[in-house]
Amino acid sequence: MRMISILCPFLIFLACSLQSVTADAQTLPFRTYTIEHGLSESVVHDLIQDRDGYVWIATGYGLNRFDGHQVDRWYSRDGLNDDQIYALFEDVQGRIWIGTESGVNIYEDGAVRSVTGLEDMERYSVISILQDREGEWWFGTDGAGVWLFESGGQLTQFSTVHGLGGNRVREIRQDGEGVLWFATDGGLTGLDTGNFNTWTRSDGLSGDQLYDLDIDERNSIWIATGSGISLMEDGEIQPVAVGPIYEELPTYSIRLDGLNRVWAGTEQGVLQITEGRVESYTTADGLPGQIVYSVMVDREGHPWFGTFGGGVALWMGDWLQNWSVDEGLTSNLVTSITGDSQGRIWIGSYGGGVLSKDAESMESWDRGDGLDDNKIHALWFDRQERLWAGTDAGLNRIEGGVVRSVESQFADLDSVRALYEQDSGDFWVGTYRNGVYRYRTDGQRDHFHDENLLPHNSVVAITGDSDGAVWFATYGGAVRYRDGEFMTITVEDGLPSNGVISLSADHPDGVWIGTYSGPALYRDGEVQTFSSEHIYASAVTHMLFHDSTGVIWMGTNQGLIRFDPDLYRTATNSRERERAWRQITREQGLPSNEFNTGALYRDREGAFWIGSVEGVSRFHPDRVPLSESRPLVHLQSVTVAGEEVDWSRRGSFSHDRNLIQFSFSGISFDAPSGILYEYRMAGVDSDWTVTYDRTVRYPSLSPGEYRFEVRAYNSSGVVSLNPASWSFEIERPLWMQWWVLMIAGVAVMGIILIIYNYYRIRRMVDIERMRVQIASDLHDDVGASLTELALQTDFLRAGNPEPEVGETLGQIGDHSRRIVSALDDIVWYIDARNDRAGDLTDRMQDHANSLLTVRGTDIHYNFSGLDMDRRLPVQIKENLYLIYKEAVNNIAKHSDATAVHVTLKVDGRNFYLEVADNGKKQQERRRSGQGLRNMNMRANRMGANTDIEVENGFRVVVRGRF
Amino acid sequence: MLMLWLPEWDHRQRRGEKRSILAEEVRMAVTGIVEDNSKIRDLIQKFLNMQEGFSCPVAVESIEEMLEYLEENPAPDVLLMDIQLPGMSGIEGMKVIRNKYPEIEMIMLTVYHDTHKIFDSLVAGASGYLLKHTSLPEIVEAIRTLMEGGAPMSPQIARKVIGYFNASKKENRPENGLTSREQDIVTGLVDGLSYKLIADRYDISIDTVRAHIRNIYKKLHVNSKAEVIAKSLRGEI
Repeated sequence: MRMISILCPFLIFLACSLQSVTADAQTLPFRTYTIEHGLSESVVHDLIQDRDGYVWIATGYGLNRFDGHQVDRWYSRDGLNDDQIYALFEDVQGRIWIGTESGVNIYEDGAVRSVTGLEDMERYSVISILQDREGEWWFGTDGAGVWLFESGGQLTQFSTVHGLGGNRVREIRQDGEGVLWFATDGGLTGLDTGNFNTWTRSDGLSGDQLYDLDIDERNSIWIATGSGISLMEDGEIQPVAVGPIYEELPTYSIRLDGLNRVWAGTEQGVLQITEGRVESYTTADGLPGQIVYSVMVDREGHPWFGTFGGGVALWMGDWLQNWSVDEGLTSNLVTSITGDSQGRIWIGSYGGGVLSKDAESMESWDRGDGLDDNKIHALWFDRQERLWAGTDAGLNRIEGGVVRSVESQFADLDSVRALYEQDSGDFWVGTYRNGVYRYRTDGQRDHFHDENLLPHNSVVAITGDSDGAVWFATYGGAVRYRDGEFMTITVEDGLPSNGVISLSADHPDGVWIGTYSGPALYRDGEVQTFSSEHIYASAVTHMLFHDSTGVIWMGTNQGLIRFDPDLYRTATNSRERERAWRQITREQGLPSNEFNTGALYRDREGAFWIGSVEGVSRFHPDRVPLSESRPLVHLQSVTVAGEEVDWSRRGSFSHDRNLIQFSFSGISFDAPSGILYEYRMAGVDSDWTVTYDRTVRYPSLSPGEYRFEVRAYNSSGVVSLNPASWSFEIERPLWMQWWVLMIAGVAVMGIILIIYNYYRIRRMVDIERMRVQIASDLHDDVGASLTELALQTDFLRAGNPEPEVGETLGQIGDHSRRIVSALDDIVWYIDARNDRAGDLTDRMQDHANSLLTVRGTDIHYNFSGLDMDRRLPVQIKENLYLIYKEAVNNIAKHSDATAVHVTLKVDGRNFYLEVADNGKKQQERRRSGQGLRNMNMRANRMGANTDIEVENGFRVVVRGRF
Repeated sequence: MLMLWLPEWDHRQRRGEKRSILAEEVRMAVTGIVEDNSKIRDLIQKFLNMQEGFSCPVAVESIEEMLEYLEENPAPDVLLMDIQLPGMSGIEGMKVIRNKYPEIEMIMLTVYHDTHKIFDSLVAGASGYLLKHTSLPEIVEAIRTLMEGGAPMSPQIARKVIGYFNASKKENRPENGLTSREQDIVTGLVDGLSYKLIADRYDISIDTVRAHIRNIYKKLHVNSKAEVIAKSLRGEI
């Protein structure tokens, strides 16, 4: 804190000096755009504003378009017939017609082109253009008369031969009655119902050389001539009284602004004619060029002036009056202002002593007149109308125009920064290094400093509130002294900064405290701060005051800030809060954006005087221009992944080009840098985002449909009617396209199925293979051994053993063979090659043949209708065979049958097996033998029903379904 | 052309010679065995040698050994051959032997009652098959039957025979077509009829049925047109 307190004055001084060094002549309410701002040349022949708000500037070298932020330029290499541009005209379709040194061009859809049918005009300089109400074109040339270009393509030249006053036609206009008017170098020519009529000096024109004309709503014609201005009303021409100088000088351009003001560009600056009153502006008033070739009034009512050699100037109005050393100030660093009862203004400056002025005169005092120092920090008129001047080296008093020495009790003061006299008569003196002194009416003096009651010894402002409390702005916070008690408000209480440099204690809301980081409001122990997207909300608040409507004004290092606390309080979103703030800068005519602490005074008329580093300015808060015109907003460029794209039509970009940057510009020439933007991206942002930047980036948009919208608010908070917008799409990457996803999904499912099936089948195959392997191994190893055994018994029996032994051997052989046979069956039915119906019947026949045929039993098979290639499930095949085998074995063992009937049917998924014999020996059959039980069990295994009859022969029926 | 192929048994048959006469004229049935299971091999060999009118001078483990033997010794009348053998498989071996020694009758010995393998061996040149666990007297009986011109054919083999010749027809191999009588017999076998029932159905003798069946086997042994051409070049046809 102490560091700042020491450095700050130095920094302010440094900033001031730099400011004064770099400050140009733009001190009066003109805003200038020159080649430094991007104009292609400084000679301006014509100015128009198109429907999109762009200002087109015809220069001596190149065509320029300006949106308040940047200048776009076109030259002959861009398609212009010539670099020398004279005339501009916007037609009903919004095309810009361009009159050049060599004929006519058109600007349309971002490009300049030639006009078919106007090739003949390329020999001439086209210096005026008009599309009449019939849609036909008139081109005025420099020396070749006027040319009519009809919609049919016919081009006709009219010259003096036809009655034109002169062949140099500088302006063409059509009045309310349809009469065309030509400003020629030989007088004013009117074209009415096919007849050219010309008015010259002899008809009252102040000159025959005409440069421009404009027509008001009463069809009165204002005529700019080579010697003054003339007005044609009801056919009568009168010179306009503009003073002897201007009546002799050429007037090059004339325009009505719709506010009953006529603006004329002359050989020596600009004339403003308001109801007979004429005011002139020259380079001395801030005009960048003396010769003004063209005048244009923009949609916000600002007159624009195109000069010869000085670029373009924009008049910002007369709401502000400025005085600087040019107007007689002793110094531009105005640090303190006050006024006396006679209405004289007293100005203290840093290094320039004290100066007093009224409308007529100025008077000044410096060290030579007895001041302790020329660096003045504070001025105060006490109730005895004595002026106290706080200097860098002590306190002085000026009475009756004479610097008087102060009483001894004031003599030890050094750098005095603030002065205040209470209603009680107590006089407070704030110093830069020693705190504050109170000089009581009883002659006693109190000293408050950082070792007793003050937080800091630098006291730079003092004021009093309606409760009789005294407030001090110190570098250690704001301090209130009431009823003998000091209270300090610091950052700990919510102040934006402890560097308090300005105070306003008579506002109904409470005490406003200006700090190095913006304002705060103190009321009833609470500190409130105020935010903004803009940096000026935390600007160095050198001075802080309010007007009669309660609006807070702040002189800062960012210009003059207007803050409406009521608007801020009632705002429901950030954009509405932004509207509470408004910045007035050099764009609106301020001589400087840098103000000085304490240089503030409100005069008897309610106007404020404020001191900056460029002198002193006076303004009425209620006259500060608030543009009600809606700003226009345009997309300026769109870059996708760094490449500029055509945003005039819908865009579509691949998913990896999803870094999108939008540049846009709001057009309001009222205060281009004060334009607030709101943007949103439908598809991403749910709400509008507020910014003062003219560029927005969206770094990684995911695939989808988007619509970018931006709208603009001018510095008065008026919103643009239509947002600028652009719709586009970020394509889904290939892998996110629905059909790819679908195909991929199907493929994945397919692969899963294949893998699943593969493993399932492989598992099945493995099981099958394992079964076969087990069966084969059993068969090979066990079967081979049993076969050996059987053969061995055969061999032994062949050796004629004892009958008992032979029988035993036979049994061994039979058992062995039965086991081998059973193994054989297993191998058969697990072999997938044997699963056809035919395989089953083959084996059935084989078995019956080997068992029954040998015995002479006839077997009749009924397989009619059976599809031999029909595949049967292994389980069905196996069980049917085993049931059959059991039945046949049963018959072979127990029956005396001579015929056996076997039927097998497979109908759809139903199967039917019947084995029946004609045996008679029922009584010998075991009704519930192991064989029958086996048959039932096997039928159950395949979910089939068995029906076994043993009454009339043996009969087994198996019915089932697979 | 097929006629040239008919073995002498058929010629005799056509001449109306009776089985009993043939049996009397039968010389010693010389049998060879190719079987990798040494115990089974030895048992069969010993048993055959014990039988009257039978001799088994050779019992080897593999086709290769049998081929060596055949190079230097007179060919036996009948070969009992296992299918699963070390080295050349029984089916391959049958083809080789049939090509070189068409006069040898081959009986396949199999552990499996596997119609597919059996049929493959029949096509390769076997004239019959025996399950290994068939009793030794039955084996002798089978050899005798074969020597006398008989041939076993089970219904499933018959069914495959029909399928085989149907396929041959489709492939335009008329030279391998079955005669209508052969067709009748095979159909009868497929229907599960015994030789006797077939002989009754068509009013022919059982021997004629057997002769037809043997002939069907012979026809099976010509596997392809290429093989026919090869035989022709060697002057066999």
